[in-house]
Amino acid sequence: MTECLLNVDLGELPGEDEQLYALAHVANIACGGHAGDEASMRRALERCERHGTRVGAHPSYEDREGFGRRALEVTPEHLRAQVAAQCGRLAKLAADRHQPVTYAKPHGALYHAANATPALARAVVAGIVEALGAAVTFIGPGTGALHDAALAAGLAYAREGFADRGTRPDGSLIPRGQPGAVLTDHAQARANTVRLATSGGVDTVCVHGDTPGAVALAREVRATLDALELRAEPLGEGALRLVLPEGLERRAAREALCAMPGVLDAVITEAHACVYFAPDAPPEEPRLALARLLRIPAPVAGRPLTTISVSYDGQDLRAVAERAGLTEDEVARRHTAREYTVRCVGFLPGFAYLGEVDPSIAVPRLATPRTRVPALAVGIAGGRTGVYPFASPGGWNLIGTALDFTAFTPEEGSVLQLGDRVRFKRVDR
Amino acid sequence: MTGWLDITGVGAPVTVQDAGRPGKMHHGVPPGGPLVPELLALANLAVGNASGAAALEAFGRLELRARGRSVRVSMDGQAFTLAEGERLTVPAPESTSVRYVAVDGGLAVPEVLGGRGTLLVARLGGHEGRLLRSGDSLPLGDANERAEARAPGASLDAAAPIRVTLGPDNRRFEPATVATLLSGAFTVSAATDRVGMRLQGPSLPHGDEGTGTSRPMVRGAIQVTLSGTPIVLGPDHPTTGGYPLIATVIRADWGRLCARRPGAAVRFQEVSLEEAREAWRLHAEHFGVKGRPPPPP
Repeated sequence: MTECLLNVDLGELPGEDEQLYALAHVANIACGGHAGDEASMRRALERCERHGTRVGAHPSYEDREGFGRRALEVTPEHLRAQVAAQCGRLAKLAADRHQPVTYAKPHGALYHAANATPALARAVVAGIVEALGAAVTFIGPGTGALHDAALAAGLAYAREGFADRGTRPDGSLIPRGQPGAVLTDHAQARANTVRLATSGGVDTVCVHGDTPGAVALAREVRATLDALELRAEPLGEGALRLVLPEGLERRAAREALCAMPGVLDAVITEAHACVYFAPDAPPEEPRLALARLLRIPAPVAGRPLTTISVSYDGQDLRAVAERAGLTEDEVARRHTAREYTVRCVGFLPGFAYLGEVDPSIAVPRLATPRTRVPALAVGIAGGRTGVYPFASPGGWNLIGTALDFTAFTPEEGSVLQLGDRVRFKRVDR
Repeated sequence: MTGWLDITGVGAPVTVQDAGRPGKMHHGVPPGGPLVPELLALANLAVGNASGAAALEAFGRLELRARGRSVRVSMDGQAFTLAEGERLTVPAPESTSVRYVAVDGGLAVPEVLGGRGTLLVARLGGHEGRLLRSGDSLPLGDANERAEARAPGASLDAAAPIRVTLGPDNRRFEPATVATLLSGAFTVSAATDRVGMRLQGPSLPHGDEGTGTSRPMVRGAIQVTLSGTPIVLGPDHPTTGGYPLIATVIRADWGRLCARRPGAAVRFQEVSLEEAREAWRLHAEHFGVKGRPPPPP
């Protein structure tokens, strides 16, 4: 699936929230027709630059009083000139700042009138091409006169859906002013976004900057679109493996997944999250929980610190020291010098993968794993260290033995949990 | 009156197993459960237990004695009464890898982390977390419910293909290697236990360096070692692992595969996720072998 973009109509209102620029992929900037002046356009361009938002022109009927939402009688020739003038103003300001204008979308009443009238559609497209060139992508309805005119002029075309607008059963928008025309309910907007983005008929979804609660709504819509970009791979019919997005708090990710109806368990590993469920009752779109967390982070409580006493007497300590070009004492010192975080729990009951190991002692795992590693052995493998809770096969470099440490109890399970903090303390025996 | 099952002789590994410990993977605890859920269910249902009650999973001959009360016993699905003090010799399984001995009321060993089954790697559950030995005594639960005889039907058909869904790492393999998995003749290796079933047969090479970055695992997943040997993860599998997963055995066929003894033939057949779900729905309906829902987290 190709990426579905969030476009937001911006530069229209005084005091609009800058967050909207951070959330939008494309900002449709009002360029004087229905709203906007030089100052607002400059401000919008600055904000686009700050947040990496792509710039779009948002021409309209010249009707500031009616916010461009009234149907007007304008001849195609006049319309072409008006659209070209509006887009030209934005293009000039953008050129001064060396920002490309890469999208264009007609506003309000013009959007609908031009889509129904080929002559007007051709006028809009001609005005845009005159001011912005033929390399812009035209944002418009999935079908109709605008689509035909843009394609005839050789423009790329992004078919638009409205995340914050209610639809009739036939798929058409409920007209503004009627009940259900504007969605403010987040769950509805999310469902709407999933439906639009996965329909195959929509390349971009729109949130109106003037919808009440636009920021929160845009955040939900963007999180939903981000989620649909995450890779999800079935692990049989009762589990789904998700690629963990960068920057996600791992413990919060597990909790968010476990909170979903139908999820029986969730496991976080280095680069993945996995949810487990009954084959006949899979949860709905677990990716949404992760993407939502990226946009709306859950508060992270401080995690407990566990200090583990270690006798640095492991059978690979000498080899690790030689490989690192350090003394054995120095390897032990560097191993105890920092605080670690539990990044994953797995492999064996109570086995916690701790990171990050000091790169100077982060030696790779053994080429041939041992068939038996004693319980409580402390190992290093690459950037990870950990304590074997039970005797088992294992391929980590053994540098010591944990003293007076229980990694797993039958009553509580794993003693170390995702996100917990761990330090090692040297004890010579 | 309190009853006991005395173990008076053991010819091969025997453990206590029940429906498992779903929902504990985040502690590093594998799901557990019976190697052959169908046979455990038949054994339990025949003496009036819930299908996932704790029973004996035996790889070989076993000698037992009822103590404290008379006991309804079933071997797989065959039930009979053992008078108080009476002895029973359970013959080694012949056509399947393991056999289940259920008693009315189930084995009342303590529940640990939501299950009563033995998890050898963590030495927990069952009887002292270990293999049973002659001289062990297991407490019996209270007899309940009504016995019901059921047949395994085609679920354990030893000649039937084992159905898999491809992936999630099948793209790490050449298409020809995936084709080999789906067309090759494999046999169950002797190096097979509750952790995993190793298969002999054509090699399934892959370019994976085995960087050791651990990924999530699931029972039934077919991991392929650096040397190209497929291992089907069993109920006590490590919860994470680094080998790529070429395919995953569907849940409805876990028992069909694990019932096969070393040397038995295995062929794989690809199905869609939807087919896997439908197969599971029919299977669970017939056997009532659904895992018990875990307690709320």
